[in-house]
Amino acid sequence: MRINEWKREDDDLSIGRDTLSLLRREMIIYVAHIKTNVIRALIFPFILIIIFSNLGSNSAVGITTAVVNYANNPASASFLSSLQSQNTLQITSVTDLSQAMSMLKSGSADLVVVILPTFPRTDGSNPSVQIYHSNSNLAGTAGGISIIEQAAAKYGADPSSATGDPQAASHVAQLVGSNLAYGFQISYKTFLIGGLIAMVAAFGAIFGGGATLISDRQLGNLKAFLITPVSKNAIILSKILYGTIVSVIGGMLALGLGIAMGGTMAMGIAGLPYILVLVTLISIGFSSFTVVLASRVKNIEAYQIFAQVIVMPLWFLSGAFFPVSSMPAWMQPISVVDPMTYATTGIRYVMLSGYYPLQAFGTDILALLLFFALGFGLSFILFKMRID
Amino acid sequence: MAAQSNNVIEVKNVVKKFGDFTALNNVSFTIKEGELFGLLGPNGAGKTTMINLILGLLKVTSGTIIIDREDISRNPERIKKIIGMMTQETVVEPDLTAKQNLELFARLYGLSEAEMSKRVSEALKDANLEDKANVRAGTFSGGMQRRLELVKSMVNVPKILILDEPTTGLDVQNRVDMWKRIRELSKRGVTIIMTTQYLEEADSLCERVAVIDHGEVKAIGTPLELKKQVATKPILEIFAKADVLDSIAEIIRVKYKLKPEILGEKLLAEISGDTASVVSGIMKETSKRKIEIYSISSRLPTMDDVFIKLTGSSLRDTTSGTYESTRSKMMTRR
Repeated sequence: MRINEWKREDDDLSIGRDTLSLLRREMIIYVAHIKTNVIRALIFPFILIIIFSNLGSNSAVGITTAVVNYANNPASASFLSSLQSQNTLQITSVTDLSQAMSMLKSGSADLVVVILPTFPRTDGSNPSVQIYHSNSNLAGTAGGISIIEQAAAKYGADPSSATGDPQAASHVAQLVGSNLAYGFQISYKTFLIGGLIAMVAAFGAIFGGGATLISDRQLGNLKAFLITPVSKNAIILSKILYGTIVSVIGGMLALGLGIAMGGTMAMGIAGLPYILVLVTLISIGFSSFTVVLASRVKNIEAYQIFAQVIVMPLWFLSGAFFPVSSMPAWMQPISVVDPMTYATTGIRYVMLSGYYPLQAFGTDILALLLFFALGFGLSFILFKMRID
Repeated sequence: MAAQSNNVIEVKNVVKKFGDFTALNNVSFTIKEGELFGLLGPNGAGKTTMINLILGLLKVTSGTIIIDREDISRNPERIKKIIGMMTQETVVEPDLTAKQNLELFARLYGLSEAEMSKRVSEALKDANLEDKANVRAGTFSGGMQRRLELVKSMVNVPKILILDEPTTGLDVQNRVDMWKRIRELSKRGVTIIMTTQYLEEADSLCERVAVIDHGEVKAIGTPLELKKQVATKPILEIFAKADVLDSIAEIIRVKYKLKPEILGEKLLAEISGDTASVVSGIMKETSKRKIEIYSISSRLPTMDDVFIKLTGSSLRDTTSGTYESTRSKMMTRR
């Protein structure tokens, strides 16, 4: 039943006061069910971290590798064929380095192997095999590099033992690519945790904002509120704020869990305010949308289906599990308009790279502010007050 | 300027349509200040729609509702402040304490902190819940919750109180207690509109009653007036096996010149003349003829008789309550 929406001449004070009264109620209920709420926020990331955090540590498959052979001698040919016999590597021979590098940059190659004319001789600190990699095949790159290194070692040309100095390996396997957020020496665990924080925030919004609106409607609370002179906007606002608080608490809990489970924070404690801002913005946006959705569907089942159909793809496309660059080309533009991408990317700057370039920060915040403004604005326009 | 009246609610030719469905069709009635008014009708009759209109939750399709001498659409905020409502579903918040429940609504009505704490402690006292003020309402018995709900609906000290089936689901003791509380509120001068599915409740509590069916007011008046419309004299009621009722009916018709009606195993007839002699006469006659009867009695017409006559159905048969899956309630629990 669509209810009559009276025009109410509100002073801003009463909206604020009503919102706080309603929010206070929500928080009392939240605290009363604190165990459920904490477990709900943590159980999903907990399982995902356990299952996926070691992903790619020992199984690298189909790493596209461009090989530039400048040696063209029997040893290099034999080395090349030994690489080709590796199932994990998918070898493409190219004629010059610039072509290989452009493949690397465009993502059509994950690794570039350069066999120098001096191969297989290793001359002092100059190895005769060079490896370049990008960040596009996150799970496989490290495994691929070690396979190539082992194969080269058989010809006495192991790039990592070039000088007998184990540190040399990092000089040899060079990262090529502009996006340092997914650096070479990253742990996938931390990478994953960054994505999970955004996910917990989004799912927190589903349970916090919209779902409670539906339960209030079903249990008759909403009608009880509407009988009082409370304004409709205070009800919407309190639900959005509650969803946001639940989401932010959830996101922070997920961060704590991630750190406790071995995730790292490159920026240290100084990164916390960044994460808080990113998570808050994404949470307000999602809470707003779930409140509108809840106001327009009748029962909780339909709401959950709708909410998940919307949030799940946004979550996966945001690069929460894997870098956006590893997604098929046609999917990548979707992630550009996916607000969660910006939260995930931002969190990764803080957790993985330790350096959040101003430009990247500006882009992420701007995108999230846009999402927030859109969701928040639409929630007041599209909200339908119904009591059954 | 219309003549001053003490009508606190005036419903005039109200029509409410939901799409093609007419929920209320040209409904008119007035309620005087301080009156305890009953709204009766089978499920789907339009009671809830009527109440939602009075509460300002719905807008009339046509017609007017005047509350406290003001058209409801003109100043809904003022109207909302003078109406209290106890809904059918008990909606005290189980996770909030009795005090928090009351404070929430006191705040939503815009009471100042000082006013709020005064009203809340009065309300707790009224509900005999002073010692439970800081206990979560979810631990309360059904009767306690309903008491809390009643004082919660009075927290804004409304002029008009709407009670939607205030005693449904309560045990006898709590129901009697609730009746007492409703009478007390009425004595204090609060105008009360109540719906109920218990006709004896309407009979004993309400000063005036409107019977609504299919969106129309079928009758309106004091319970006594309504009962008089059905029958002015006592009603003879005989229960017996259906196959012997015909012969009993014959005796009644011939000997006492009454007009018996047979409904299954029940025979009803309006008694004219001296009730005692009619009843004892029939008892003698039936025992002489060895006709077995279960019971014989005379009684005054009840609201049930009124209801059956006006709506063609017994109220209880049609009130099954709305089904709401407990599962979906559980899923939304936080």
